Amino acid sequence: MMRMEFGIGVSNNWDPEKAAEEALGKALQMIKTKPKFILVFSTIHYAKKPKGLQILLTSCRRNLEDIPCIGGTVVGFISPEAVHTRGVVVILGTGDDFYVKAFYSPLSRLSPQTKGRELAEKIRNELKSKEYTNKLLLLVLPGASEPSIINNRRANQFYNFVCKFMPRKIQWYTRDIITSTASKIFNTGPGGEEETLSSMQGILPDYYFYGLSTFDNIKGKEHYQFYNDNILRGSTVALAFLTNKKVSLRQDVPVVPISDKFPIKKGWDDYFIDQIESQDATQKFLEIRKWPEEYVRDARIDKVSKTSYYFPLSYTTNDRTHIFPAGMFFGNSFFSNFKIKSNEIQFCITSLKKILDSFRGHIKSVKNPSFLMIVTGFHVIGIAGDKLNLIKRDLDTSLGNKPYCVLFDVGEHIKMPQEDLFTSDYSLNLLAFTNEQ
Amino acid sequence: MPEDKMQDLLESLLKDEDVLAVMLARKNEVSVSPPPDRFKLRDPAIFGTLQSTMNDFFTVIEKFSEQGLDKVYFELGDYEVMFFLISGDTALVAIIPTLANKGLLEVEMENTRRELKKLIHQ
Repeated sequence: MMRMEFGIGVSNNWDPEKAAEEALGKALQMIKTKPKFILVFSTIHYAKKPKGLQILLTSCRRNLEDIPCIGGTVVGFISPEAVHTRGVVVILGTGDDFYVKAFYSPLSRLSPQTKGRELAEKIRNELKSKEYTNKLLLLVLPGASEPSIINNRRANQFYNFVCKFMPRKIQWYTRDIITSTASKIFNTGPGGEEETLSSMQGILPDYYFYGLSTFDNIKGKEHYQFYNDNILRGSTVALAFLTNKKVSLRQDVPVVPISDKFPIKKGWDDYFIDQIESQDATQKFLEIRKWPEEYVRDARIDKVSKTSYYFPLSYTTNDRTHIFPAGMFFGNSFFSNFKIKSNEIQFCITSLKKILDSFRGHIKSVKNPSFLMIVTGFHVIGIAGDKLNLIKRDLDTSLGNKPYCVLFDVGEHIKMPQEDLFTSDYSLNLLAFTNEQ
Repeated sequence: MPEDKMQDLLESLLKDEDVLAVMLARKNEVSVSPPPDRFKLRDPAIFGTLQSTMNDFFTVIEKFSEQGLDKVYFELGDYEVMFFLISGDTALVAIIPTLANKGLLEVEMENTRRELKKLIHQ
């Protein structure tokens, strides 16, 4: 029986066809037989050229059109070859002792609970005859997108101006209508990942879930999911991976709270924080952080991410602490990409040292992997910059010439069999395949 | 020719929407850069000022190079200038918007610096 083998190839060529050819070629050289699945992750740059992403994906699957493929756009990646915030990475898997099948749920963002349930039922029904010890779902879900109406500076300035004269409750009501409408019409706003996966976990309790949320180059405007030859938006894609070999999942959240708990008032489906300690959330946030107002005056992810995204917040439910960003400021409130499921929050910090220690902890936890993947938030790129090469150096030293991949996203999701899903930003989640039983 | 390959590397970096201008600056030599009409600067004079002051700048850089000076950043109004030093008398220089996501750009600047270093030492 052929052992599991993995190949990985990378390219940062601007031309999508050349990039795909280069990355696929390198990955194929690392495996002895035809792959049984393909993972393709790219940065958003290929979408700048008309049909660029389609050309990229189609070319990554050349002569492998019958092989299941999933993936999506990410902020960057690390592989044994290089660290990149522009390019494509192709991962191939082959071997005898596993079974794979790809699934998708279009536009899961728009009705995540229903779509999640339907997807899980389809997976359960199609795979119920497959008897394997370990069942894993590799998931790629849509991350949050900035609603275009908020992205518009004039609209945003007008809303801020009008807020000065509107009673708070009318502000919040108006805001809820604007974001709800923009979300439905433009397929923007939160990705609904937690709702999608929460609906799935009850139907697939015996599965491992390991997922990431797609993003672009931290502009929050457009990002995509890949399913076979299809470029999707606002959708969930999954690769079911069933095996009798050992699969290791591990999670860490290298963030510490630095404040007491503050009571909050939430808005629009628990995505907004309107008030902290009965004061306007934006003002109170600035006061606690001791920041000048110009840091957050414009509600733009690219501006906000320069500062507030590196200073996370947290809430705790059922003894589990979830980390989230003050992702976007809109008037006197701010917005997170995940629902805030508590009426209290804490302010937190992270650091490059904590992140490096977290990577090292993950690396030490796995012996002799045939392939290792880590997904984590894009904030690591902002904090580390070119020092991501320190992370690469640690991985290269520990793993030798074994294939691995680190992907930078905007949300991480993990579930063990018979346990609850855990969704968070700022986490570092490991997946390792070995050839052990 | 290494200089052609250097141009390719610089032009590849310039394709990023947040890289407004780029050059390989060399002390007492003509810098290597894509044609300035391809730059995305609203204030093109800033690049001319940078080019003309590089020799003075290298005089300062050289004093720190033994202490391991690796990068220099400074903000100029709406722009930020990134210097990634390749040696005491050579630097990869890029101009980016102040509010660009520097972390993303640092990664590709570092990759470009490494490739340029290989070409220079060929």
